Amino acid sequence: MPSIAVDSLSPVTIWGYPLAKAVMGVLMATFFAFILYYTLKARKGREVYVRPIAGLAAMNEAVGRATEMGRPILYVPGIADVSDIQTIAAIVILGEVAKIAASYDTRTIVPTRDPLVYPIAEETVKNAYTDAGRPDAFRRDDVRFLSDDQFAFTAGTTGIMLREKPATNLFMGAFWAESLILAETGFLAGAIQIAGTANVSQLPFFVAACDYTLIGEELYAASAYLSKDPQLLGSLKGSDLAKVLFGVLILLGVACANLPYLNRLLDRVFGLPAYELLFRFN
Amino acid sequence: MRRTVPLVITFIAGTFMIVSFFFHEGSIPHKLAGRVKDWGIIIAAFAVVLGTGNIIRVSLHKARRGEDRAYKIVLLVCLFTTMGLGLVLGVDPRIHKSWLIGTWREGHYNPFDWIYNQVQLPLGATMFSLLVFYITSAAYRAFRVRSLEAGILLGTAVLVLLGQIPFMSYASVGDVSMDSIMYWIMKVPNVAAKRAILIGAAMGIVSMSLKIILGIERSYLGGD
Amino acid sequence: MEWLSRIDRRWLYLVMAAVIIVPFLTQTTFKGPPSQSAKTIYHAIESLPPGAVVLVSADYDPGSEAEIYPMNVAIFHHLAHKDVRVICTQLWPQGRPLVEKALAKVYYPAGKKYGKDFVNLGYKSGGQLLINKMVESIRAPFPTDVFGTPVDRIPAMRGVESLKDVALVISLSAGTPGTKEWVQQAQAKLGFPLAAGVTAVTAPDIFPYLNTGQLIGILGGLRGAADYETLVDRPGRGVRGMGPQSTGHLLIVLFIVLGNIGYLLARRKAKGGDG
Repeated sequence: MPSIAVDSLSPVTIWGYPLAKAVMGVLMATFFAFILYYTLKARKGREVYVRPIAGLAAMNEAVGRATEMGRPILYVPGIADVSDIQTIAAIVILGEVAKIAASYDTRTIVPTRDPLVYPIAEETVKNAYTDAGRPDAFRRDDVRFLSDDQFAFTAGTTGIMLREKPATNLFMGAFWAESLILAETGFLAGAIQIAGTANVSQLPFFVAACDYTLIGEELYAASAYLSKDPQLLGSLKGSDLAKVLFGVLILLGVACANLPYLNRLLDRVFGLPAYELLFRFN
Repeated sequence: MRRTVPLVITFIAGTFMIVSFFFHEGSIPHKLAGRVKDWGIIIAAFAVVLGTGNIIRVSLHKARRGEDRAYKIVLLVCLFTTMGLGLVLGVDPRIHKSWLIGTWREGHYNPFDWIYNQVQLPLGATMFSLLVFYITSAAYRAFRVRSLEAGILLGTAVLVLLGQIPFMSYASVGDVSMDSIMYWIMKVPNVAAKRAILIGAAMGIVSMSLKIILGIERSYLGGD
Repeated sequence: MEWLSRIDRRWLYLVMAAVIIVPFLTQTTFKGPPSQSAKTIYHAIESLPPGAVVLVSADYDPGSEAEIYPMNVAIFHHLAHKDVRVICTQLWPQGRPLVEKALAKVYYPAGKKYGKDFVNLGYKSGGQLLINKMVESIRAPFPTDVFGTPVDRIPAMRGVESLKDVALVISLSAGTPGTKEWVQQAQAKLGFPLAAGVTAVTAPDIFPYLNTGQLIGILGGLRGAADYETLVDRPGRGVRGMGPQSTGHLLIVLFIVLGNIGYLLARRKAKGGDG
């Protein structure tokens, strides 16, 4: 849970409790309710449609290509530590990708920057290979801790790209200045590349240098999409509908905040301010 | 059992962290949540040992098998030298003091500080500066006027790039200076797009967290 | 002419290297008026009363030193010129030697004394939690300075209990934890003026806070450093870097234009061939 100084955002209190926190609680409960309702509904067997996401649809093909070429795949779970939810999302996707790779008998190389991410990644890949019925194909040396220094890690990872020549590079999670160095080196090495991050400032670099890019929340939707688990797909639908609701709330908020301007605009267009228009429609 | 215990721990810890957020700052649950976060920092520090062990193991295996032997030997020598110097000599407080009280002279380092200042610092800057070449090739390759949208993107990128050049500040389109055009692009369309992606991503975070806390998302734990 | 869209990347790299190295060696530079954002930060420091306390959070590392160190030095020049006390903290461990070098470069030659005019409290882990704590107390997370001197015995810290006693915070940040965390954890609570100096690539990320007025100004990348050096009339690495950076930018624009000419010609030819 990211801690935000909510208490201070609004000094207004309701029965002695900060209003901002109360509103946040209500919104969070609504959001949770949507997700839980659709998850339970999906559990009962209702099919959920998910719009195709090109980057995820290409995941199988990308791993397949590495198999055909007899080369490994490289999976970088971002450079943030394990408390960053993007890293968790990346580990979840790693589990699914490693399963596909294991079923194709392809190596999955995972360099990590955070020492705590390393054992988690190792366990995830090991489990995936076991689940796919290929525990013998798992190589411990393929999950590596390189360095916790940003650019030493980058140098190490690009070194792997050039020496071990993975046919497919997957960059999922939180990336900063190293994003383009990684993606462009992979491009020059001729790998097919799929990236996904919620770090907005790095998206342009990935879009320019990778074949597919998952933008923002698509990263969090990836595991549902890849596993086709009905419960996860249901939760996806729930969160999307909640998003529509929040979108409407944001629009209402913007309209209220701009009421004087809105009045002036409506006055100019219809010759009447907003409240009179409302009365007329009623 | 292998999966149940982690799921129960995740549920209890996750729920507690959410609930503590709604308590007043300074309250016991709030303080306890802070303590739990401190545990995370301490555990992470111990994980460095695991990570270092992994580097040594992988490098030794590879060197023994003859894969990239020279690189692996360089890595191990650098690792042990730096670690050894750090453990034995540490950071010399006198050097830092000499910086602050003004008695420092160029080249006045102990070996560990020397490695930081003369090796790590320029190497970090070198890696970062490689970006200029990659940006050049990526921009050259990716910025093509394939459609109207790509054209708009290209035009905007060129304006922002030119806006970074000092003498372009004197240029203007009509009455509007180049500086204010760049400033407007950064402040209005850039922020609007960023906010949309950020809000979507924030909801993705909440949804993902809930799924993990409730055990709906458990694929990271592997099979039974 | 279609070859224009297929120039080998090694030529691009070679020309780019030349275009950066030549102005660097010949010390060619370009001057322009400082940005509005830099001016706002300058005026905020200029209007500080004597004895005011400024906190400089140096949250950057060697990788971002090229962009942020010059602005750090330029800001220190301005602060050293004013009669204000400077407290330095770091959220990134590698920020300490960098900020201390900047202090050594500026404060000692300016005749300022460590402990009286400026102090370095050093690095503490915790990121945003640390900032959160500093809202209540600076002395709890930082009981001593970097030499282990208790803060009670440091004249520069007199009367400074928490961030409430600070007149201006300057966040020199290369990522997370950095400016964003300073806004969310402290500025949002106390409303103090907060100025940011960040790398060019992270500047768009914090622009929303400039819109909301939570940041008084942003120095973005080397251009931001050059702007501030111009304002304090201390041309340094920032101003010198404007030559290579500007020619580099112009070359990228040129490459983009050439690539598109080649691309459009190839497309026209392909269409002609189809028809």
